[in-house]
Amino acid sequence: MHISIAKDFSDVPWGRFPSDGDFCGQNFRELFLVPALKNHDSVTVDLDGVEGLGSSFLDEAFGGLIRKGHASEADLGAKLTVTTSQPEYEMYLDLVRRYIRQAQEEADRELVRV
Amino acid sequence: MRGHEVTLPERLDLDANYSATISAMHKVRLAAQRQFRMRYLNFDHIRHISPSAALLLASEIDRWNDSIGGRIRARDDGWDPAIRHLLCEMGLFELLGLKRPRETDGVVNTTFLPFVRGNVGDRTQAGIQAKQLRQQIEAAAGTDIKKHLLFDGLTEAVTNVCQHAYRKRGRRSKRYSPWWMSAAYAPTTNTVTVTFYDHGLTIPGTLPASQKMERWKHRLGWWDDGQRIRAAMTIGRSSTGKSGRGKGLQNFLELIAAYRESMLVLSSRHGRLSVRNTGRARLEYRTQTLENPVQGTLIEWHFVPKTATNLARNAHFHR
Repeated sequence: MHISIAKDFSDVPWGRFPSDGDFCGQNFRELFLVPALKNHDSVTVDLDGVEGLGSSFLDEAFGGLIRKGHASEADLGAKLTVTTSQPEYEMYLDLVRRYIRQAQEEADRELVRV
Repeated sequence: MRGHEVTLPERLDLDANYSATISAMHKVRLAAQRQFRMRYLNFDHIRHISPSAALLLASEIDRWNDSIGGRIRARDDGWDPAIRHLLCEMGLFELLGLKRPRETDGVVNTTFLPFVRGNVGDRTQAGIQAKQLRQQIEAAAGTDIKKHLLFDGLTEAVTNVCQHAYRKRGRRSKRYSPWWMSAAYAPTTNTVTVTFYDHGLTIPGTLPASQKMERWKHRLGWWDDGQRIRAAMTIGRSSTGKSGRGKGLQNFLELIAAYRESMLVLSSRHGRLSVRNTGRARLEYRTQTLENPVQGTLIEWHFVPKTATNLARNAHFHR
């Protein structure tokens, strides 16, 4: 399953929640990522063509998968690939990894507390 | 102020003439808040206006127009030609209800781009507006800029406004929760200035003291607004206290880290944080306390496009 954020969702994605804007991280997660991960063994998200990807969007879209219980870091490691052919956008690959890892660490801490 | 006339100072500039500039803005804000009609806004004495002061002025006039339900009155016959040119470019004539001149003959050394207004609840507009502003900057500067870093900075600023800046108290505050952005290009120094402003609760006004030492400093009155703004730039700090939040202000730094000659200035309430990139390994941080507060949060990015580097991705670790 291949998802292009720019072509399938918006070339100007921004914001965290629908109250920020329609092309926010939560909408991308719920409308694209969650169904794709549920129905496919392999999902590739292509970042090419977007104007940019702010931290709020990335964190809610990808870190939110773990916070909302849709997947674990291990699940995403096995199923999800995030890609770009634009060298300047490679910073976003690091950020996606970081936000997924942080969300998993928070989830693990919550589990210990419970 | 004579009667209800506000006279704007000769140098409308937050760096060179902070007190007089912010004082004039406060008078216009007061007129809007107290719902009284100003006779005139007098532009005749202005000889210099900086891009950030111009955006503050536009925002206050915009607010006054919204609050009073009519246009503020101004005459443009006594204006300095260069100021007329700049403010016409910026879109102030439309705000003031003045007829746009066919030609402006003032000699200017800066290009002001039209300011953009947004409101919390617009939902779809901010991303498109940020992209359009970038395209206008590139057209004015005649060169590409790091579009993704500018987009991330501007849209995170809008996201912060949507989530933190305006409390949802009462019907009016829900309806009118504005923000403004604009840009300017100075060919003589090859400098781009991008400015974002909101009239909200400010960063120091919404950031809780989260560490033990900060709570002590706060109680003793030693934790000033400049330090609060700097604390807000720390990864993971947020006024919401929710997990996953507080990453947005980092995006403001990315653009600065990507240009060897650049500066970020974040002014909010009584605090100002300046972050300068001089091409060294570390960004230079400086905090200040402002005697008269900025009524809201003002973000300024200054950068020279030709000094672009590939260091942006490491911005988080340069602090």
